[in-house]
Parts: sequence; C-alpha cells; structure tokens
Amino acid sequence: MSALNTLEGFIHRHGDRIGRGLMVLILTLIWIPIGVVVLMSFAGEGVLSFPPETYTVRWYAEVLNNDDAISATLTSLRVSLVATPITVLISLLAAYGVARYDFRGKNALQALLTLPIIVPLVVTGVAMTLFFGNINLSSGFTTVVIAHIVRTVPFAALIIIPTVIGFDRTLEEASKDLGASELRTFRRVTLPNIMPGVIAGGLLAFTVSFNEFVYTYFVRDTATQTLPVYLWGLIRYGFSPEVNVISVLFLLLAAGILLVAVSLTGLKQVILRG
Amino acid sequence: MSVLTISDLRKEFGDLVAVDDVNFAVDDGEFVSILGPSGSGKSTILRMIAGFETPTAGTIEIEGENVTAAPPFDREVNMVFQSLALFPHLTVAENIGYGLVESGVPEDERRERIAEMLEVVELSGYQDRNIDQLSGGEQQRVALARAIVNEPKIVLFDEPLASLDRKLRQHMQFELQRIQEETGITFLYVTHDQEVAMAVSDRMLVLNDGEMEQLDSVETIYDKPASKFVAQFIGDINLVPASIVEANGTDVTVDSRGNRIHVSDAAGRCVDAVSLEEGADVSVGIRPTGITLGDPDREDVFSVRGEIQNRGYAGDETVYTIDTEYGSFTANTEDRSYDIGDDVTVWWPADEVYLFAPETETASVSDGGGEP
Repeated sequence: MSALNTLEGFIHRHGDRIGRGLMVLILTLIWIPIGVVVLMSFAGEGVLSFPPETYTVRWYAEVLNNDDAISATLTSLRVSLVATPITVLISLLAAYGVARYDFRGKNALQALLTLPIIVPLVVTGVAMTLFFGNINLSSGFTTVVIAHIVRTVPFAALIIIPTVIGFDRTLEEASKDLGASELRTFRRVTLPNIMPGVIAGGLLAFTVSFNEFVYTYFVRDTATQTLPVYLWGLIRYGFSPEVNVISVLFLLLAAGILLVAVSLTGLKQVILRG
Repeated sequence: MSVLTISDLRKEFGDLVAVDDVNFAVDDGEFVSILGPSGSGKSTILRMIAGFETPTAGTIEIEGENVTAAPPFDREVNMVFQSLALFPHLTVAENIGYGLVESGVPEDERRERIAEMLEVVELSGYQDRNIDQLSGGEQQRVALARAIVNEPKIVLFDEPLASLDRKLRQHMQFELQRIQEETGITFLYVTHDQEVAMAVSDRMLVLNDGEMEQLDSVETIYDKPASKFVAQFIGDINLVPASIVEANGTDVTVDSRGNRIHVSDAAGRCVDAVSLEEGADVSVGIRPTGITLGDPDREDVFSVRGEIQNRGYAGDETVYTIDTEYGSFTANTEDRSYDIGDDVTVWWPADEVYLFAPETETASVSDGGGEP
C-alpha cells in the first residue's frame, strides 16, 4: 500500500511534468517519422543519407512522369469516387431507418453497421475473397469497389447516423405546415440541415477508401492497382525516393480533405442557403 | 360562420384514448384556448387540426370543408410550435417567407409582405439576421410572423410562451391579443397555464383526460364551472364537507359541524349534479377570492377559526394559507394586516358558495392551480 501511496504522491506532485513529457513523446513518435519522409522526398541523394546534404524536386518530377504511378493514382481515384457516393447513400438510408422507424433489431443494426471497424482486416479480407469466389465474381474493379464500400460504411455511418438522429423533425412538420410537400421539405429543410454531417461522413469515407490496402490486396486482380498497392510493390524491391514522394502526396491529399471539411463547415451558412 | 368545426373527434394511441369524442366549433376571428393538464389530449387535438396526426374517428372541417384526411401542406392553418421550429439554416426573412415561396408569391410581393409582417411583430429591419442571433422573445415573434404572413384561416399555438419568463410571457400575451385584433385571424391556443388562457382568450375549452369538461367564456368558466375538475383547475377552490339540513326546493341550509349557511339559489350554485334533498351530503366550495378575514360584517355567513400559516404577495393581493379544522385554506385578499401565526376568523357569504357532490376524503382541496 505504501508503495502505491508513494507512487500516487509522486504522480500528484509531478503530474503536470509527467503529462507534458508523455505528450512530447507521443508527438515525437507520430510526427518525426512523417517529418523524415517529407524531408527525404526532397533529398538530393535519394534514400542514401540522412539528413540530406542537398535538396531537389527531381523525385516529384519522376513520379509525375511515371506512367505506373499516374495510372495507380487514377485507379485509386476511380475506386474511391465510385465507392464513396454508394457508401454515403447506404449510410444515409440506414440512418433514416434507425432515426425514423421502430423495428426489431434496430439497436443491433446500429451496432453491426459500425462494429466492423474493430474486426481484424484480414478476417474480412479472407471472408470476402471466399465469398466472391463462391458467387463466381472474378477479382477486378468491381470487387475492389465492393470491398471499399464494406470498409468505409462503418466510418460514414458513425458520423451520418447521429447527424440524422439529431435532426429536429419538428422542422419538417413546420415546413409541411407552411405548405411544402414531402419532397420540397426534404430539399428545403432536411437536406440543408443534415448536409454538413453527410459531407463529413463522405470525406471520411473517401479518405479511408483512398488509403485502403488490406481488403484491396485480397480482392484485386493485377490490372486493378491502387496507389497503396503500387506503393507496397515499390517497397518490396527496396526503398526508392518515389516512395517518399507518394507518401507526401497522400499526406497532402489528407490535409486537403481536412481543409475542405473545415471550409465547408465554415461556409455552411452560405452553402446551405444556395 | 364557424371557421373550424370539430365533430366526434377521437384519437387512440394503442390502448390509450388520448382524445375522446370532442365536439366544438370556433367562430371566425375568435381567440379560443384549449386548456388542460399535461396528458389531457390538448396538443393531440391541435396536431390533428394541423394534420400531423390522423384521427381515429370524427371529422375536422375548416370553413365547411372536410380536411380530416388532408395532409398538413393542404390545410389553411399554420402552427406556432412549442419549440418554435424556426429553420436554423435560414435568415429571419427566409423563415417568414418560407410559406410564401411554397404558395408561389412573387419575390417583390414576398419582400413587401415580410417587411410588413416584421413591422407588425415589431422587428423591422431584422430581415437578414440569423435565427441564433435572436433573443427568445424575438424568436417567438419571428415564429408568429412566419405563421401569420400566410394569412391562414386559423393560427394554432402549441404553448409557445411556456419557455419564457413570467414578465416576457405577460408582454407576449398582450402582443398576441393586439396582433390577433389587427389581423382578425382566428387563434386557437393550447396551454396548461390557466393564467395565460384567461388573459388572452375569448373562450376556453377545458379538457380532462381527453374529454371536454367545459367550453365557455373565461368569465363563465370561472364563475360557473361545469365540474369540480374545472373549478379546481381554473383558479383554486377550498372545499368543506357538509350536509343539507333544511330544503325548500332550491332554498337550502347546509351544515358543517354546526356551522350553518343559508343558500337561497342552491340550484344556480350547484357545479356537479348535487342532490338538494334534506340529509344529502355535499361539498361546499369557496374561491380564495371569496374569502374575507376578520369578524364578519353581516349575518348568515359561513365562518371558521384558523391560524395563518403562510403569506405571500401576488400583485395587489395577499395570499394567505390558513390552517383550519377543515385543513388548509387559501385566501386571496387585499387585506395585508395579518401575520404568520395570527389567529383569525375566515368567512364567506352565501353568494360566494359553490355546491359540489360530496368528497370521499374529508380534507379540503386547494391545489388545483395551473402548474401540472
């Protein structure tokens, strides 16, 4: 007990210093490797020395002139741009069902929609591969899109369901009371009010999809090479400066999406009135 | 002509009968309140008139047209919601103009009517404000303007003033009356607050457990309550168990523990169906405002000794709680000369007496006030 008391007293006295130290440690662990990658993408000597002695944008030019990299980027965009709207639609329908109707297994549905986030990726990866094989759906663009939808629905649902549940339905009654039909009410009141949540859910789904690797690796064919898969291929044959550049591009995309999300919520008033 | 006619209206939610065979009509330009405790079905009636609930049975007619099955957007009624339900993504002007857009009013006329309406609710120049920039009182006015601007046949109010503090609420009551007089639109106001209902309405419909208790002018409901429920719900009432010891038609003498009072027009003082036979048990009811403290200045009064338990001020009047042999009495009087602990005689004359069917319990009841 006394040891515990001593420890407790120690934490009590030095709690703020311990906290600060931990924070620095965590930040270091998270951000230093990322910083190194960014730095190395400009390294004149490629991957040979750290810290770099000279700086260059040559590797960026190389990636931009690399047909395989461009093609992988376009494949990733195509997959994500097809999967995201479908994911948003599925999440929106589920959210409506959960928010508006009473049915058996309603709580279970909500849990089952979001819980896959914690299911080990390889388990679902194997399951999907077996399933597609059983129904004779050959690997390719379609299976990758389906896998991405499976992967992103829990994330989108996590944001969109509370948005729809939190929407005050009295506003819809007020709209109908003022002469607007069901459809007009959805367009003039419901949609503008749930839009920020739906967009946020969509952006998250897009980000997750664009970064998706494990499922894709299981269900793809060789022709369907997304950017993360292409990156994986590069690393297998040793580090190249290109890897760093593509990593930075991922980082920029994530930051860009974050900025879009922030500006959308900031400009919410303007957009919603349009 | 009636602008609204409700016939045999009934609404069941599963096993629960929320509204039970309600019938009433509202005349054009009237201000009618539906008053009842929570769960009495008053909001359900309003929501059926607005079209948000479908009646189990009965009909709703607006200007003679049966709208029972019509959707909310096909009815010429507009509602001011309890939560106000202002659109948070729209400005004040866009909120007020919402219904005008739906009915295809051109933009110029819309702008004009919104400006006029803002003038009526005393918010001129507020067009471009956001809803969250407005105070509670201002939001009330916008909600009201949004309903009235469409010139509906009836404006329905679902206790929109309940959330305001007392002073603002009283101010908004006057505003409601003023706006109703200016526009001439029929107002149907649902509330559990008898004070608000009495202050604003021409007529009140008192509901209890989904059933109509009484529909009358405010004065009639206070002076001639149709049931003990109404008497207790609209203003307080003190009750004394008694029995009739002499009866000559409607000229009776009631006795309570030797305390006697002679009521010459007993039939007109009866609230429930009371037997006026000799020996029948009755409850004698008395409004707190009908009580006088001190020695009686006339003959033939009912008087009880008691001790002042509590006193409080309600504007010009002082509200005393007096402990008597019948239990706790409430008295409202302009007389401020008594203090807590004083012994006092409580009395009232025969013309302030109501006669109710006997109570099963012996204690008096004086807690029928407005709060649920």
